[in-house]
Amino acid sequence: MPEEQKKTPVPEPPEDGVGEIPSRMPVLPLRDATAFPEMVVPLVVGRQKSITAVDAALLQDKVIALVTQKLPETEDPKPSDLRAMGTAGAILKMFKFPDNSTRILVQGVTRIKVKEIVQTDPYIMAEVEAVEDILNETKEFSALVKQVGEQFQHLLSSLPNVPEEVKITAMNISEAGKLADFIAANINLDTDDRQKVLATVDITERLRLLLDFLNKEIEVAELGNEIQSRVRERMEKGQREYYLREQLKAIQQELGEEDGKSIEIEELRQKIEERGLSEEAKKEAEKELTRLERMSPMSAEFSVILSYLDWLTGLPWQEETEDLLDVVQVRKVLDRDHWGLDKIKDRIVEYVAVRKLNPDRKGPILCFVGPPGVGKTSLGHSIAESMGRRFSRMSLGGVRDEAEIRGHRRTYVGALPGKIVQAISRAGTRNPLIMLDEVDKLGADFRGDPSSALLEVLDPEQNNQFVDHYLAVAFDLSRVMFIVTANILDTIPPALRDRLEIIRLPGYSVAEKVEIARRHLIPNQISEHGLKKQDLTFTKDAVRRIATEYTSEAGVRNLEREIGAVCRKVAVEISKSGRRRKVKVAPKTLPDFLGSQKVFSQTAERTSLPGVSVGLAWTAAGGEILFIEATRMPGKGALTLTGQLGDVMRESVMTAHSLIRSHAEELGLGDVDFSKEDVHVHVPAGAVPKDGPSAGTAVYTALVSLYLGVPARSDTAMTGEITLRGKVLPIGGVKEKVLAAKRAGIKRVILPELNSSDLEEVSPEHREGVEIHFAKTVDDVAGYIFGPGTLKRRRGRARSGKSARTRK
Amino acid sequence: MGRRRKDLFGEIAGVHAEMQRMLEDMMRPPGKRPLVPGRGWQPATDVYRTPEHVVVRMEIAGVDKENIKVQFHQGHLIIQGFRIEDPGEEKVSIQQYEIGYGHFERIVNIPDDIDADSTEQVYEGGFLVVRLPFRDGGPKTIEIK
Repeated sequence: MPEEQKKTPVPEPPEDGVGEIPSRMPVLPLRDATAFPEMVVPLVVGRQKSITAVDAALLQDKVIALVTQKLPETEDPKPSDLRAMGTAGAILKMFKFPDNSTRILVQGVTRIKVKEIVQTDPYIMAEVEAVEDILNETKEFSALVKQVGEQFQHLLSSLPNVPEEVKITAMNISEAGKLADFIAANINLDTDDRQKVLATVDITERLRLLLDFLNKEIEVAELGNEIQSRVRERMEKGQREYYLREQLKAIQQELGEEDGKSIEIEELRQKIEERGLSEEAKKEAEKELTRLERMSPMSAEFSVILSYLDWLTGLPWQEETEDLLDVVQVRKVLDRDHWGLDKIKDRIVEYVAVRKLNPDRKGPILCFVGPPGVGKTSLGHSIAESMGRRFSRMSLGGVRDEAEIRGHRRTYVGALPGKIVQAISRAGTRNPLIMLDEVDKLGADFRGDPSSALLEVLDPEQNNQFVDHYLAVAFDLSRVMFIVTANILDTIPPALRDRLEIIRLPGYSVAEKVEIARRHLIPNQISEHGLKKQDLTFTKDAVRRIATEYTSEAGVRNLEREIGAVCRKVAVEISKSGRRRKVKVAPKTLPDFLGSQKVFSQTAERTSLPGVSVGLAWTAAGGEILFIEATRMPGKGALTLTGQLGDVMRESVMTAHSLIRSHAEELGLGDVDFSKEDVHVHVPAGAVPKDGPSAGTAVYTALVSLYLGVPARSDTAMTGEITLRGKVLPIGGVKEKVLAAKRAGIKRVILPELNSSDLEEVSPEHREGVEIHFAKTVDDVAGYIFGPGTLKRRRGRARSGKSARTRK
Repeated sequence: MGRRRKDLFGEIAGVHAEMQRMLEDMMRPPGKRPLVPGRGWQPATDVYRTPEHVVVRMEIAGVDKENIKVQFHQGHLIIQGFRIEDPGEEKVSIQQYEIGYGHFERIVNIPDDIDADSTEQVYEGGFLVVRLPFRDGGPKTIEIK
């Protein structure tokens, strides 16, 4: 502090309104802000020149020229980059930050005109001139003042968040020019518009300009309000719903009913505790339950998780039945429900016995193969019952999608666990007997290969950790007993077939059918139709008639149906007349119930023309006989094949034909000119596709018969594949074919020698009445058909019937 | 760079200061001219009432006694003055500038019935305290409309 304090004289406050400002002052270029006189404006100063300008001003009069740039992007404005009009401002406060950026608070003093830039380095300095407002108090002027004031108030009322002070101040500004500047500084104008107001020195014009801007702003504000209120309306509706729901919950609680959601969650929690889930499953369940708790019951995912937990806790994690391994009991139940099928029953009893002695042994998976209606599924029922297990069945027919076995992931809409898990859930125990029907009809396409999924299910090494995609946790399938059924074996994938123990149910003979009808079918149908035992009886012959003349099948399904038809008619009679009279159905009265005979014995169809032979086929419906017809006509040596024959069958026909042609001499056909003849082989029925090599011997026979002109023995059927050397190869389905032959009234069957062991599997009853012959070569076949004599007569060389064996 | 930024400091300071000045502007009796440049600065001022006085307390440290002028006119107390910016040392650069120098003026609205002739003024420790005694009875309750 200096010793002598110089007394600076206090200047008198000036008399006129504006007062003096220096004629030369530093310039602070503003990028896009506009400073109006009287307005206090905070500014951030970053550019070096600007900072220097501020410093300079503070060291002098603290007055600075606030001039807006023409373009806000200009970094270092030259004189030509600055507008002509600006505002002189007094710096009220200044702060400098460590990074050198500066904040100042300036108040505008007066409008100025920039006369000349006299310096640009280190900061811009200008010669300026104060500009006063021009006031002309006309009528228009007064009107404008009033209007502008009103519109501003109008605008303020349409805007949100306007401080009261702005309104009050605006109402109280007496000077029009100041009012205009105040409004211009406080409404939402762009830089150019603001600058226009600044540059307008005439107050009336300034007011006019402002009125225009105000009207525009009001429009914008009102539009904004409209949109806002619409949005608010929508939100309020949602809020209203929420509010009502909360009330509902509260009311429910008052009534003592817990709200639905928490009840469910508690129940689930209990279930998770009590059901004995595996560790993994428990963890997963608890995790999902926690999510459920936090979720609103209205959200879509709520029901998804809920159903998942229902499935998970609903599975029989601990429930199981104890196996009744009483061998005698098992046999009893099987006998009670099924007639015949001794071999199969023996096998099942063996299975149970072994299981009793070694419970841990993972037994083979039984596969029942047979035509429809032989009782595969009902066998499964009986087995389950005799062992005390729950029974669940699922059909694999037409299943192409792997997800049917494994389930869909929970994330898919409408996802469900796979059929296996569903079957277990239905059974209610973890060791049910699950019957997998129609495994030969499993498909496979781009959606996956269900048979591989099935392999995992059936593999005892893997299936204790079977993971269904929906459940996402492992379930132990190792205690489940699986039984598989199929109509044919060919379409079962080899990997799967390996794991199965095939048990064939070839079908029933007529005698067996009659017994089955007597013991099971008739009583069933009678009770089904509400009749009493005494109301309806069938004679044995009647049943036989139905089986032979009204059905043609390996199983008993249609037989049951026909019996049912009879029952129906009786039921109608009783309902009509109200009286119950004993009805006895005999062969004579059968047509009254079932109409005329539907099935005619095919043996009668056979003609005694040469060129026809009887073959045996093994189809999904069991064994069948088929006829091979051959005819010759003049031609060029062509061989025509019809009857919807598949490639393999066609080839076997060609083989037979070639065989004959190559051995023409030996067969005594040396005089046949094959090149001048056409042969046509046809296998009825024309609409049924046929394939397979086992008709080889039959085709050969038909052709030989054709060329020899000697009809084949009409009571003989044959089956066997032939080679070009004349050897007979073994075929499949011996049991079914023999049965089919018997059904059709065939007396003799010629089988390949190599199938002799298969014959042991044919039950004595099925073989009864059928002579079986074995053939090693086609000559053997021809010998049986035409008699050894016929051929001998026609050729020079004799063939020794070395391998001709006859077996009864 | 002069960019108007939406920061609280500036807005509040700016708008408030503006309002304050404008309000006081309205109260200025006609004939009394405003000060320039920029209306000068405004010292912090408290106004309160005791059982006997209306007290106006103003913080104006550094203002010489003789540069203070106090007037009461038509219900308004007008205090004007001047703070000399002591150029005692040479300033090379300025980092912060906040203290007001030069002319100052505050106009305080006093609607009470006071005896203008017996006001007391004490300037001590940088505070100017003006006491305006109530003319009779106690303070008039000011209705806030």
